[in-house]
Amino acid sequence: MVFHRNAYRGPLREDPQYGGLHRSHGRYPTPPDTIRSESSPLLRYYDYSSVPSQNHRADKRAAEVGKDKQHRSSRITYDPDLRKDPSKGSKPIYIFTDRDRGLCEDPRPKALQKIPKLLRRPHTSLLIPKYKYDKYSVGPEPSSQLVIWNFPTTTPLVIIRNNFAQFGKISDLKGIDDPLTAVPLGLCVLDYDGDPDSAHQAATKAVAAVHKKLQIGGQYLRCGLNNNDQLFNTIYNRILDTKKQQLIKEKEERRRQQELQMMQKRDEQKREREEQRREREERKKLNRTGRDQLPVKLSAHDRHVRTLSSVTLPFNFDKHIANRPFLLIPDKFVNTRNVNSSDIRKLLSGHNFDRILTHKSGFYVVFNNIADAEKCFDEEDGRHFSKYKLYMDFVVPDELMNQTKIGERIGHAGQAKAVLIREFHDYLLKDLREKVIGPKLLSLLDSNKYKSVLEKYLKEKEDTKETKADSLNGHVGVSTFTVQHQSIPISSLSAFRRKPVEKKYKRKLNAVPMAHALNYSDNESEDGDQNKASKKQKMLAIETTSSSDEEDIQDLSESKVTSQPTSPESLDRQNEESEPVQKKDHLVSELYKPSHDVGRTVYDDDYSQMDFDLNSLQAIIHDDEDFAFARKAFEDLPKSEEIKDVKLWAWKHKEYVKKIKHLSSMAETSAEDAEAIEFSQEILRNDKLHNSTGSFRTQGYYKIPDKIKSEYLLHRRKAHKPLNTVQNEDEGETQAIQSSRVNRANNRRFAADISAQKQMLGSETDILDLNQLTKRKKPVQFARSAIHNWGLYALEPIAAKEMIIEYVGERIRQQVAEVREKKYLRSGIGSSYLFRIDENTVIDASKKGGIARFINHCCVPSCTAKIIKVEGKKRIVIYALRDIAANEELTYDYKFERETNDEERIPCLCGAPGCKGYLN
Amino acid sequence: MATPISANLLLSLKPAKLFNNHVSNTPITSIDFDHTGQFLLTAGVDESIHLYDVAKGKHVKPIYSKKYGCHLAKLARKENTCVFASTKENDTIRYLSLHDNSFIRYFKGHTALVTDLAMADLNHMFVSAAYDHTVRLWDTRSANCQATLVTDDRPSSIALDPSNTVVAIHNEYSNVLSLHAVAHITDRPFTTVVCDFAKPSSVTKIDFLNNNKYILITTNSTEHFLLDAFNLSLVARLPGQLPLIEREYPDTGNLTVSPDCRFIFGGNGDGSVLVWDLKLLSTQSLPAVLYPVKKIENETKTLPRMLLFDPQYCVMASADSELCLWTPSS
Repeated sequence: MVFHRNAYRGPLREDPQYGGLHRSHGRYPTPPDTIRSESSPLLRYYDYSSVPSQNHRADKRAAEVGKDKQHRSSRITYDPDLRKDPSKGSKPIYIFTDRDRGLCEDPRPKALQKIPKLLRRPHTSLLIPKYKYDKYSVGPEPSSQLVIWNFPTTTPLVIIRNNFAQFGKISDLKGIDDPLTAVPLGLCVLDYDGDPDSAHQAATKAVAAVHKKLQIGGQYLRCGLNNNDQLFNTIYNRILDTKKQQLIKEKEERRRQQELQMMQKRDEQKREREEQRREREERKKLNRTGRDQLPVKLSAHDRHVRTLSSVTLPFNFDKHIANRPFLLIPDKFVNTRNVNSSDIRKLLSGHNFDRILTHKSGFYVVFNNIADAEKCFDEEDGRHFSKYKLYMDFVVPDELMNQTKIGERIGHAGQAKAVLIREFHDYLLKDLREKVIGPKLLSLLDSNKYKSVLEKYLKEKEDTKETKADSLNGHVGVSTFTVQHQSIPISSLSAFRRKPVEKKYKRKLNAVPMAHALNYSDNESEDGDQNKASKKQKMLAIETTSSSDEEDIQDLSESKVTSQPTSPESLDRQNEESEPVQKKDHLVSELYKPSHDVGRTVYDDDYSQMDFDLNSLQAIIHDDEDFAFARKAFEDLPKSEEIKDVKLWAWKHKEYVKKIKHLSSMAETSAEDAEAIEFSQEILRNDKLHNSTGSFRTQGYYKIPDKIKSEYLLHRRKAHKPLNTVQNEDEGETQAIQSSRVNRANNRRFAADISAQKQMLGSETDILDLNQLTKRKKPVQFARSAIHNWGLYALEPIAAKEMIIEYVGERIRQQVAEVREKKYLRSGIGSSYLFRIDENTVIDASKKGGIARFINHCCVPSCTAKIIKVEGKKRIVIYALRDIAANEELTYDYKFERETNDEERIPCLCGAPGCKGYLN
Repeated sequence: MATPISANLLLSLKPAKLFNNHVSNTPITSIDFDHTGQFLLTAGVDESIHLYDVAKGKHVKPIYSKKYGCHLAKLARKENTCVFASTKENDTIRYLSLHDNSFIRYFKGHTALVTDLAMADLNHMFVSAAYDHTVRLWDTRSANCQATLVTDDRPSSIALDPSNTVVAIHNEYSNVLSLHAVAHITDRPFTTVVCDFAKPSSVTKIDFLNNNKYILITTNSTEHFLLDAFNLSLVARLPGQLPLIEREYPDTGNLTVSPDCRFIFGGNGDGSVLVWDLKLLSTQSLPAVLYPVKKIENETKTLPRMLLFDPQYCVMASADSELCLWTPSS
């Protein structure tokens, strides 16, 4: 707080008269403690600067002390203001009373008697005003908020709302959830709506009516006014506390149970541990003598060799056994009650045992000699005997263990040996892998060796083939030529076959034998020979090809796909052919044979002009070998699903090709029918038009979509071609274009004349009313359109920006247009000829209108529609956007509103390169 | 609906409304209820008078007296009229219609600052005291001074008794309290006492209690006095107050008596209100020393420099630079 300089003069001033502080209590009894003013004075700041200094200010009052105003006591005797007396005038009359001041009596006793009821009297009752809460009110707003609790947590808030709505309008009802679990706490806060006072009243009324009186879910509802969240906090905390305590209780309960479980578990564990310990001890005992867990692998039989110390002998038996080896046949295998010891004795009669002891745990066959015992154990263990199996344990005295055949193995040395052997084995394998197999494999895969390996391989192959071919030649009598041909690698073969014959020679020149390519040293040394050889090869090639040509011709004339040498004719022929070939072979065989890279075809097919259809495919497959290769080539292709009957398909295909050929030959002969033929060809070629039955006649009626129609119908097909935009540079036509402007000027002059005449006539005649726009009209004509039913075509070239035609029709209002549109749609007029000028006006050219209505939409239009004002009326006029050639269809953008519903969208068939696909 | 007065009711007073219609932090120099207790008038050094409706707890209207200033604005007997003393230009007392904000009459006569005004509630009279050593008797219906009493000293405070027949005049320097009969105001006082118990020029207000038994002398010190209304003997001292911060402008006293004449409320220096119980007088030998029996805390942080109890409503007004209305808390 900032103090004004004059504001604080010190509340505790020294007073000279009393010689102390005003607050000195010394003279009076001390006031009660409760009332003693111990609080500090409230410091106030007064702003005197904002108000002008006035006479009652302290300093001015003090200044007036010195003034001694001279007045005289007086009393009025005549006051004209109160009671006018004309005789006394209009001025008040005073008498001065300074001189004779009498002494009066106290008038009050009399007056109090006289006046029956004073205004100022001791009151016994007072009026208490009720103030409405407003911005001047002190303290917080009266609470209109209720805290409601003590209802089931499952109660819907609607029920509470309905119960409390009778007291006032509820502005907000909020259920309070547990902050941790978001589970309702059964506590809610309710706000009444309205101005603070009425809401407060509603709230108090509600509290009075509901608190501990209303039952919800068998519990008395409690509620209270929430002042500054005090009540809410207490209740909320209380509920949370109880919840927390419950939780703690639950937790304790759970913990107790857990502890119980833990105790049980611990007991179990203890038991288990004890058991384990026992087991371990037992095992230890075993381990000391028997070696169950040794790394040495023992057979099931050998595992029953045990030391004496690991076996607990029945009472007194050690005396009889006397540290000798014995075989124990346990009772579980051979029942001691059913089987007599004499039976066992009989059974083991072949063995040199000392005695057989019987005990309920089993038979003890005691031997004097360990070798005998071992022999018996080996031979008799597991032997069938009546319904039993004679399983036995071989128990050996500890010190004699070494003498058993497994003793060595299960001894310490034996174990170590086993471990070492295993390790050695592993290392051996590893070494084998790394040092023997690896290098061997690498050396095998060495690329340097490839050449020699390949050579070797080829030679081997050749040898085998030769032997095969020899056997074949025996039958057919064909020379080794065929053998050579066959040994040519497939890859090189195919490469040659694709080329025309002429090119083959050049290729041959450059061809380098495979072996040379792989072995550079060879290549260098034999370079000179190579040239020679290639020259000779060239010669040979010419000769061979000439022969094969002949063969081809013959082959083709026969038009046989397969060259089966079985028929006697062909056999003869081949025999004939073989003669010259053989001759050649004799000539060149020495030179020719070493190089295998020379590709030569038997049949010289011209692939450049080949159609990849069935006929040509059949044409190039001449013999079995070709067929085999073809098969190989097509092997990878997936099997066709469509072709079910191969023969039928082949027949169909051939028929179709025949037909096409026929048609084309027809077209050549008769030019007039070319279009019709083209049409039929188009239909034949179009896959979409092919039907399942094979004939349109058997198909029955169905609608061909416009899209497909546009692919083959003549006038539709135009749309697919770019619209004719070529500007004719002809002299005459440019003149025509330019003249339109002059024409317009003339027209204007003409119109002016007419109007002048009109004025002269002075009468209104319809005759002279003329449509200016018709004068500017361009020659246009409607005809079938590629885009849609009818279209408008320019009869002569039109320059850009020229007016073409007016869109004439009935001028109707929007409402009428809507009605008509529906009517037209109902009556089947699908095409809309309504053209909107503005919000209220539409031109309807459906029933009455000009041919401008036939202009189709195009996404890349040649014209545009403009609304111009002619004599105050809006009219639609079509203008050329660009230069338009004669006979070109006129189009403009309809500018339909975008339709969001896909089903209602109208597909655009304008075929323009920038087509948007839809009109709207 | 009148509620019987009980100690509980009166002691449960607490601030209900706080108005700061006067220019903030400027002192209010006078507050006054009309005799019906429905209206309250405050005058401040910001040269404005504000009228409040006590029954509704609302500010009714401000009246500005920029030219003459205002002090000691008192609601006159006639409805919607008030009388106030000028603080600028001259020392004329003005009679203002609050309804249309026009002066009805000027009461000219004083030649120095008017120090106190006392309105009669039974007739149209009012008494004024001024630094020009005169006490004047006026009738609101007449612009002419009805009587002029020249005193030896400067009269600082005057009061009319409930029967409106006696006027008590306290002189500032001589510290003499004298009782005059209103009808014979120019005559010598019938009772006079020198208030030697109080510090000279410390008395800010004298009040006749409604029961006509006592005169309450309010001082600007921490001790106040209760005198017998007839023989002017000291009945009780009312100590226990914490001094209020001083300010440059006068006030109309910070002690008020409850309508049942049992409790005296006094503004305390820390903002609270002290309550003295006059019932305790009977238990003590005169002159008694009464200590406050209760301290009513004030949450508004305003200073109860001036306290005035409404004559009809259970409303107490306190003012310093804001007006605060205290009502019993339900």
